[in-house]
Amino acid sequence: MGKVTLYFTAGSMPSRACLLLLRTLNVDVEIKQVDLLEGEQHNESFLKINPVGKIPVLVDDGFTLSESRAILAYLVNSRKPGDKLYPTDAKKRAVIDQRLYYDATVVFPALVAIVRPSLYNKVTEVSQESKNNLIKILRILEGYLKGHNYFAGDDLTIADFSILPNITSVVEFGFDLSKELPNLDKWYKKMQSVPGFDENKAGAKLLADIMTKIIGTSVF
Amino acid sequence: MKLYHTPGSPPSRSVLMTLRCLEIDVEIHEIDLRKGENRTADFLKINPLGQIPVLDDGFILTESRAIMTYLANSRKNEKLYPSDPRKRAIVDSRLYFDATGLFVHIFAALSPMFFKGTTEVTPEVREKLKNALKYLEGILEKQKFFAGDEATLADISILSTVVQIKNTFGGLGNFSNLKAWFERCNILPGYDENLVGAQMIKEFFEKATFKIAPLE
Repeated sequence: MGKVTLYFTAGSMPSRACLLLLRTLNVDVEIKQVDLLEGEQHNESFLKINPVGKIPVLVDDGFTLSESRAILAYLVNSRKPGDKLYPTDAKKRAVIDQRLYYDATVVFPALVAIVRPSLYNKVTEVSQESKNNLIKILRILEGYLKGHNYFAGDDLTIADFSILPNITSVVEFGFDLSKELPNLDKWYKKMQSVPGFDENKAGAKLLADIMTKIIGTSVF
Repeated sequence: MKLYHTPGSPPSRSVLMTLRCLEIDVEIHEIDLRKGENRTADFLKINPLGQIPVLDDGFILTESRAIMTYLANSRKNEKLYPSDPRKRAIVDSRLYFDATGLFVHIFAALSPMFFKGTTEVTPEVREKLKNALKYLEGILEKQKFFAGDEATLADISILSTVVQIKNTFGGLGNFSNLKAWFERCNILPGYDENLVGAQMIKEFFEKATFKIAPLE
């Protein structure tokens, strides 16, 4: 097998999702750090790799791929086709894909809305509206877990990998899942045995520490 | 099979166009968002999130691009959604880009105008849209369609979004590759229907008391 490289930022949830799966699949990966706060994603050298200037980017033996959830799907499709992580059955896959797109368009953006003003504009307070919005979304995730072990059913899938870094960040931001979200709390505890979890948690803590420095308190 | 559909919505049009391309018979239930038909007790029973499109194929499926990939997967359609991992990955990458890097911005531009009565596209949103279009323009420098030289789900999804952008700004500026691609997509079944669905955007701006500056 050729070389696998991941362009990565520890504080970034989508970056962490890809690294978690690479660890689980036991892929030998070279991590190349891209410092988003320093604007390294706008450097000419990085734009040559990904013209849209975003991370993560996977380079697999000369094949370049952007968009974290496309990367998650590709890793299973290419290395363990048909595996429970991303089964080929159309209906089972559809549920996973729905969770992935929900994560991409609702869950992750809600977290971005919480951190972006502080990270990029040094705003010293996180808006209550953005926090309330996230809590609403956490309740929907709670609902997805009702009667199931994982987000797309009873097996661990790439949907869980996509959502995990987001929940890890929520917890590192000081949110207590056990208070009102028992399914999410149980799921989060179970996910801690996934290879690479500690690495993911360290990235979440890094981001949380940066936020605390800017806003003077924890997010939640 | 039932589709809960709003013609004015790009994601909804993408699902319908995929159904046309796959020649799947579907019962269409139109949902008028401006009349709040997605918030009725009956609709919320079908989809508690109140979003469209929703597919009912014996089970309820939301998220337009998950519906599109489901339809292509269930019919094992190699052209629209190749099974080769790398070819498929590119289609997926474009679908996620459309969702999070293109549609999100035209949605941010139009929603306040429809639902809150704002009258301009902010410079920030305009800049994001232009950068996204520049990225797409670049991809088309070396290939005819977004995932290669054949049309795939990627083109269907992006087409619906681009026609919304075109009708908002009165054109596609100087993006000549995009303009050529836009015409090239007319080989796809459901193309005309997609464009007709986006007419309501054109009509909205024709009736509006304000004008949106074109894309440069």
